[in-house]
Amino acid sequence: MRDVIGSVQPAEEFALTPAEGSGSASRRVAGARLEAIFREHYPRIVGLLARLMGDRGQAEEIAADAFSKLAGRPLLLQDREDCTPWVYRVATNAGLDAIRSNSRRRRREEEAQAAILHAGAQSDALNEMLRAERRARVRAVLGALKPRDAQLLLLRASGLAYRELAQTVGIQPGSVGTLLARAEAEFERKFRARYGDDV
Amino acid sequence: MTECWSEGKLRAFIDRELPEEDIQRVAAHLEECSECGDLWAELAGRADRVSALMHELAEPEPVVAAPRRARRAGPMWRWVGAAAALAAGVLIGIVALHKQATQVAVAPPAPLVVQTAAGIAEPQADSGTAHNVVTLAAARPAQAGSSRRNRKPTAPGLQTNNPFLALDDDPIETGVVWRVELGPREVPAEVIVDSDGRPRAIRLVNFKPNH
Repeated sequence: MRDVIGSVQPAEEFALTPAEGSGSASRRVAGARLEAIFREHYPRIVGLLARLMGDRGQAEEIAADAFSKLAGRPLLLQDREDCTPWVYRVATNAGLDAIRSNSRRRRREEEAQAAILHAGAQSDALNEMLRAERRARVRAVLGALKPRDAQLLLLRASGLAYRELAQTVGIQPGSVGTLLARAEAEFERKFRARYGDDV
Repeated sequence: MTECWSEGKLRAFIDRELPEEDIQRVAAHLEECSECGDLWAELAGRADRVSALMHELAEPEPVVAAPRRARRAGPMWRWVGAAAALAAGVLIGIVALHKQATQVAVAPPAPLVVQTAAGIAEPQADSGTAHNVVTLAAARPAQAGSSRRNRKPTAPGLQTNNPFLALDDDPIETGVVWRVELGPREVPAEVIVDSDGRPRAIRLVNFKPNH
């Protein structure tokens, strides 16, 4: 046993110094790129998700999770053009999944409506109830759209220009108008199908 | 008649996301092509409706907003004012106490006996401390006794209210208190050292000679 242990070389003797050096350098580059993307896009993604879900805390959780997943993909991080749409897509998909099965949100909205009924003027309470109902409908329709369509609508509503939309969603700038028009048409069609002509 | 424009270009025209020359060309075409004009109107109306619905999502959540509306700026300023007044009072009190303590401890040098033990044995001092650098006389000026430390319970053999004994007649304006130990018995004491590094006053701390 002593001989076996004695024949084992220390781990550092197997280390390939050049490969280790380049690996750590690429990790540093990936880390720096991740930080840059995080600084630029995290607030926007949280805003998008908060708008989509109506819950800023949960939006921050999902956004942080998307960046955490991005951090685990160093190869993707090497190309900033690819990884930005990727993190938006992951975050939006997670947000859409959440609003499809978010019992916490539904419960909170119901509690909010009950609280409104008990407080304030009757007309304000009615208006607030109607607005809450509209918000719930919009979220439901967004959840029924293709993720890219929902993403386009949310980002456009957040004020992104076409060039930013193209970069963020990962589409050609020249096709933004076409895809946006289709997304709006699909949104309206689904909205009317669910809730009638009250768009 | 100029050529018709695609749905995507018309949608970009609505958002003014086309190059300027294309915007001019689309506008000119819409004036002469009713079909494109109808499509433009349909796209613009839908974009407005969808945008209005999407902006519903930007409104604050009512549950979160309700308690915030109940808050007012008034109490905040009152707290700031109260804190400022309290801080000013504490500052004035510290300055006043500092002046009073300096006068009480240093002003009456006559009753104080500060002697080097090498030459003069202090009658009431502990013989163990007699050969130390500094020993204290039993006679001390009457103290106001208003210090908070005076009210602390005193353990047998210890006392907490020794006055500072001036080492010269000059007034002490500023100084730093050093905690030192004197002699082989390591008697704890505090020395006021002025800005020139000169010891100006001394007192024993938590020590009472055994009689």
